[in-house]
Amino acid sequence: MTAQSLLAGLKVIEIAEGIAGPMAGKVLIDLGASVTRIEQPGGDWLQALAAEGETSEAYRQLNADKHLLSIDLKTAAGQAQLDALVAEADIAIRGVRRAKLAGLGLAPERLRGITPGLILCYISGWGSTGPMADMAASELAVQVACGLTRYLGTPDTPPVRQGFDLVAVDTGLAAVQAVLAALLWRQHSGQGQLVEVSMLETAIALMQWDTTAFSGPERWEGRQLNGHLGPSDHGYECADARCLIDMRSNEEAWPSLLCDLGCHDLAADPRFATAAALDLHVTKLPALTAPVMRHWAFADLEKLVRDKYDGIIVPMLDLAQAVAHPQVRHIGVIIEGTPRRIRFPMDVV
Amino acid sequence: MESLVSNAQPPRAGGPLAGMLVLDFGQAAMGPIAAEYLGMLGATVIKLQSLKGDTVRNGVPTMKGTSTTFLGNNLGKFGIVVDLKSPQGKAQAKDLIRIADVLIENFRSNEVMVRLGLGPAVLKELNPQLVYVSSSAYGAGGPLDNMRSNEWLTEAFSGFTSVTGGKGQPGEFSRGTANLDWNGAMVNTVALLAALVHCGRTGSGGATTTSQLGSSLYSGVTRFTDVLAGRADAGTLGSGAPHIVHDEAFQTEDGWIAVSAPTQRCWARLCAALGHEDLTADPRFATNAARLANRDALADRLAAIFATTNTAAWCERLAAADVPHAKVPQNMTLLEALDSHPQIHAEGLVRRIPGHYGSLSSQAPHWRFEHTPPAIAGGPPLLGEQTELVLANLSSKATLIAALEASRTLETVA
Repeated sequence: MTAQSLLAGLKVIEIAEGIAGPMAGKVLIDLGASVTRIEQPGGDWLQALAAEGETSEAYRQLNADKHLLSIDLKTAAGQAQLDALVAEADIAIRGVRRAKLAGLGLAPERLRGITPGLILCYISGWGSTGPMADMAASELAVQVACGLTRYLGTPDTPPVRQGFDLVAVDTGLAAVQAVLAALLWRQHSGQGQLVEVSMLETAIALMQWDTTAFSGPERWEGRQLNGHLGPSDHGYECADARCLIDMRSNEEAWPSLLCDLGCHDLAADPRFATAAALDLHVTKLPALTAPVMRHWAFADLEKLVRDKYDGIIVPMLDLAQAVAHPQVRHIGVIIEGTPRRIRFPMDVV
Repeated sequence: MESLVSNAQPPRAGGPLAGMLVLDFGQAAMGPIAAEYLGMLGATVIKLQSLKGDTVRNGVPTMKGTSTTFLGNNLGKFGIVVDLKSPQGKAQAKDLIRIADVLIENFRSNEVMVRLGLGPAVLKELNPQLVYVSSSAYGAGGPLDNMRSNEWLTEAFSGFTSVTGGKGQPGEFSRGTANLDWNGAMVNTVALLAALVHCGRTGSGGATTTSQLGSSLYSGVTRFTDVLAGRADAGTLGSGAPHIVHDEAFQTEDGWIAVSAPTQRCWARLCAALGHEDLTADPRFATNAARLANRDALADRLAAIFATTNTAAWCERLAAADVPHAKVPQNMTLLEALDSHPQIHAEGLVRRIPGHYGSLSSQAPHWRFEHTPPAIAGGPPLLGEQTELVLANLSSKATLIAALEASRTLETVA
């Protein structure tokens, strides 16, 4: 028994392009489901997103191991193929916008007429009701609208996005949550149902830390009400790496650590003397310690922070370094092959 | 604030997981939020805390002395205090485990539960159908086992900061958001539900593991694809994207607007909306691959065009042309920005949840179900609020759920 066989036997149809919908199919396939992907004439727009003469690695990554069928749903033969697939399916994922649905035979009533227990999942950008229903969305547009870009960059420089496609990827996860919860309900009710997720609602869920913090609390400290926090935080820049130092398990040790680093004036600074003060000011330390930090080699710094003060220090890895790190290799979420792939990070004990 | 849609919730017991009992042994974010999501889906969730309470109770900002992080991560739950290090507390936990469907914890190492005498083998003996997710910091074993993780450690370690930052600038932390913590909770929720579905089909539960490291890598799946294929990554691109040109924010006469043209048709519609159809005829910009190769030249052209009028005018044109776009909110608090967004406002996607600690602003459940509507059942519990009620109703799951759900008062029911 492995996590990769938890959903073995489950049959999924995926009719979606881009990232969010295909991501839902990838998660299900990573957990052992069988996914048939229907591509219509013209294929998936994600395929075209590559340099001249190259293929889209994102497209390959998201759609690996899916059973790919090119079907023209606007033909009678295509409809017959679809019907045969639906007759066997537990779940159908649809990322097609309503404006493009005409004549594709994907209306819920029709599909449920074929398989009454079918769980049908609609994935959209802004939602399927409301004033922006069915309007075109993108990762960047939703990040911007929901505040994910709010604290990046500085007020007088251009906006910065979160570098991972967090909204689209997590919308895929949200879709899987919805279909699995609907499956659980079907296990005792016998009924299928229509479920929906959107990039907008997922992005708002990802911002819950901030949304609740702005409830109108009695004590405003730390994070500010408006926009940016001040200068961007690029971490500590030592001689050969940028890194993050986290002393939360031993915060009283900061003055002593600052002394060892060679920042004697900061060691006596009340902003860094107590845990409560540090909570507010710790993010100022990278800039303030910069003059001495650049003389420290990461290995020496690591020894000092970890061994002497029981703090945590991690390098700000780039993507290639992250993939190659011994811990990442140890947990086995990167599957070797051509190309290598990232699998759903769950294991059965 | 008043303009936010008030919280009109469907009646309780409607969610797809109604009748399930979830034990939240978690701390901070990744465990508690996953348990909270199962609660939104209809499960009855009991949060176990030590006498000291969850580690994030003491942060800022606060409402009635408790951090909003704790409050937001524990909506709709029932609270009990159990000292897992005492024999009595352990016995109480075991009584709960016998009747529960789910247990989730996110101690930094998978070994913590073993040390508490509640490792996978013990749990299996107590309840073979229990679905147990142990969500650690860096995964089971390995050189970093037992090291703590949090949003910023995982941003540094997963490579996230290396692709987040101004164009060509060093990578930066996203200090004001905790999206990778929340992403970890999203992954944990999928893990729990997949194990529950498996249990429903086979009758067996069991222990599974996840990690913040693994979840963070997974959230970057699309961005990792180049290095996984042996290519170089593009690094920091400001608001730009590595493979789509253009997909970026531009300065207008009075602010910034995010604009994305992921498909060839969309690119043509964008050019028409800009009044510059000539761009589509320029061979340097004819295909996405050509635009990738001439990214900077095109950015200069587009910047000059967007500067000619204001954001509202561009929004109107781009909406009419079906081009993905969004106004970058300026001089507004987060809630003002969310509330002034036409779709968020009209659909009531940010709500007020009443409770002991005051009225909390919160997401609406992030899924919609035709027959089993999810709901946020109420605010967060006081420390140990339901300890006595829980301990008096341990005879069966149905008894306990009935007692707990009946105890929701008008003050706490959303």
